[in-house]
Amino acid sequence: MARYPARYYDGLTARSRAVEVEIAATGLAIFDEAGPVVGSWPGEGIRLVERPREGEPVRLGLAGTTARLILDDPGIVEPLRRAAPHLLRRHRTSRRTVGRIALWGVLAAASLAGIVLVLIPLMSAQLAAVTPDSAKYRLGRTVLVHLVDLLPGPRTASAGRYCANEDGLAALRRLVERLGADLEDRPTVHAVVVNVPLVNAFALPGGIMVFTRGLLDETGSPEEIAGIAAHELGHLAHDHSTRALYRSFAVALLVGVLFGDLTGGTLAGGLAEWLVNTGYSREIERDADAFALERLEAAGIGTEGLADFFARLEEKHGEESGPLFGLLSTHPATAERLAHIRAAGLPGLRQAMGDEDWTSVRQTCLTLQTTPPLP
Amino acid sequence: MTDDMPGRAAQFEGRRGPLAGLLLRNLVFSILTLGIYRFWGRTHVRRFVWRHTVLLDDALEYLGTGGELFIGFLIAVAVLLPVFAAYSLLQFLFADGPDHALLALEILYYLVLFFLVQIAIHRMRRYRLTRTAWRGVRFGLGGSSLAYARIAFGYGLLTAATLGFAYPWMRVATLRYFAQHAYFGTAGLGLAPNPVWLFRRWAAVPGSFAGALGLFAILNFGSLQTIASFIDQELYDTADIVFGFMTYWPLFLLSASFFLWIWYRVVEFRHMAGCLTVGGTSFSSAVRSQFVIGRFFVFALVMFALSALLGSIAFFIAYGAARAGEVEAAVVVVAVFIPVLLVLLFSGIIRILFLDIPLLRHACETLDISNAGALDEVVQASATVPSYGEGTAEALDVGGF
Repeated sequence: MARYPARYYDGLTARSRAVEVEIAATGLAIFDEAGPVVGSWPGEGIRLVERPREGEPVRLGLAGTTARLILDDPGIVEPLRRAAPHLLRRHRTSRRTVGRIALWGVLAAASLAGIVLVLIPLMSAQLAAVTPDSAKYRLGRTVLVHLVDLLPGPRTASAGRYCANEDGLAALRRLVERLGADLEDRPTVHAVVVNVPLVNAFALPGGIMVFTRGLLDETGSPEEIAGIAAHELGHLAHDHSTRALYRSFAVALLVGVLFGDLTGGTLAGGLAEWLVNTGYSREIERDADAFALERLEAAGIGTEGLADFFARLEEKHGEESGPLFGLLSTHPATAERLAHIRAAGLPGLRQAMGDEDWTSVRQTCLTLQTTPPLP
Repeated sequence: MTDDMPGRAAQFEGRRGPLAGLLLRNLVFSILTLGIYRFWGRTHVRRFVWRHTVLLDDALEYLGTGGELFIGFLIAVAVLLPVFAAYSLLQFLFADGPDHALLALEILYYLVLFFLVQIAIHRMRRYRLTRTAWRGVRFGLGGSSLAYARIAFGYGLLTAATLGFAYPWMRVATLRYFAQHAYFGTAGLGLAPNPVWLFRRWAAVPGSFAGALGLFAILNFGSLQTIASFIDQELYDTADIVFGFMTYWPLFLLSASFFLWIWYRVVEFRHMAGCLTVGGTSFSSAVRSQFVIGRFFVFALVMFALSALLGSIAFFIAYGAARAGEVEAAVVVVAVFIPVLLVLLFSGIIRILFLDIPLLRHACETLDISNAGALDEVVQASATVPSYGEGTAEALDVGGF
């Protein structure tokens, strides 16, 4: 019988022993260099500690212990396989593990989809519903101040960033009031105009409806403003912005936990978060558009103003509104929205506001102040 | 020690090629499984690193499994999620409150987090030591993670209060607690470092930092006064202009603090290794700070080269698209975004291959062990080992691979 020289650690002490091992029918017999047997390993329990690699010693272990045999001659592996049927067991289980991981991966993805698509929208809506209005208003005000700080525009200490011409603000308030006149639970709306060149309008928690100076300059008729105000009123009536805040908080938490430690996880997490939030907000914009159409009809203003506004936007930024941009943007593609509004095609019966009010609205930014004109 | 390699008590025999393959495979599988595979991937990497770390001709062995790490992570998430959620909710409620309430909340949160991180460090060390064997005998760590965290927390506050100058005392206290409770088989570890000796070296780090800032303040004393007075008068724009006239070169001296910091960590490592005993065996290390600083440069260079390569690819795609004129803005955004994502994904791998592994190899090659024969007498301990992994550390992202 061939004997293989080895180093032996019995798993009880750290002493290294030079031994020789011999393959027996029942396993391995371990002999001291001087002759006597120092141990025998049953074949059932013998394992390769790791897959042997070129130029590295073979390491054998006894299952359930940390006893080790280290052999420089890899020639023992082949003949040993007969005496030790589970020699390669670790590798076989690890292949099963890969399968198990795949299964868990699929299950994790499924439960993640459930959380993102069902649980988070549901819970953020519930939370928004039980948040007191006063808390929402304080929250919205704080967000407004932070947001306006971030927007580009004149930034000198003397130039206020809030437009404060009382006639213009009053005209906007009257318009919003008219749009919501016959609603069952009409949201309290605080109209704010900010002195930034960006063309945009948005709704914040607590009934804060924000228009930019850029938007007022861009619009060609009071009906266009009415269309935009009706859209933002939809966000406020459905409390979209409070829900969105809760939702982005939940998504950030979830993504942070999941990807927290994946190499470069911060960015991958950011990407995932952005994709999820984009999916949500496109749905919400369609909601607000539908609400706007209904309100414009009820107020007799018609949808032509809103259609005009989108047509102008499309003309101006047409090159950006290809199919891919539509997917990436948080708003549905302008063309898609325009088609939707045109399909509704409700004619206007009355003007959105008188000429005097319209002039006042256009001049809201002639007076500026540094704090938001809010109660 | 073998005769053909006199004086070489330890070495790292792993090659970077196979490790790179392993790391890349882990990255791909982690992405495909939404990050779940990372526990098994990490186990493979550790097995590789441990197996190739050879002390006195015998390699270390890593006994942990991916499943243990995964379960530990799930438990940690269950514990940490309420903490994060409570903080975010409170932040939300205080959003409009007075500034000092928000600040107090922020400070409280970071104190709690610091405490949790210390608990995580002790638990992580316990897991790693109990999953490490050498010559068939396991390492272990007793003590309590709460007691460890209390020590680290107290000295952490002291360090903050002394603007960093008490840092060596914190290091000595925490590492001594660790060593006192760590063991190899039945042999305990001993560590008796000298904090005053360390302080004399450490003082250069916060000293140079304060010096650079002080020099900056002195050279710009007039400008800073002018700015303060303009801000008092709410003339922010005028104040902004003054910033352009300040002397900025002292701030470059701050980079000296960084190199001094690496130098200190190397000195500290040598000191700690020299003070360490395992049973009757003692150690000495000759790690060179030039080598470590050099390795940081190599790492920075590789990162820079990769970023430059991917960045220029992104630039040419964006430039070509702009020239063609008809490509959508979104395509350009994606073309720029993907290289940035790639750099971030690969930065962890590059760090292991070009920084961690060379440093480990250097630390092994410069280690000397005396009275190694005493280790022969070490007997396996019958202590219990934790049944799941270092979850808290994983979730809080402390520790290397």
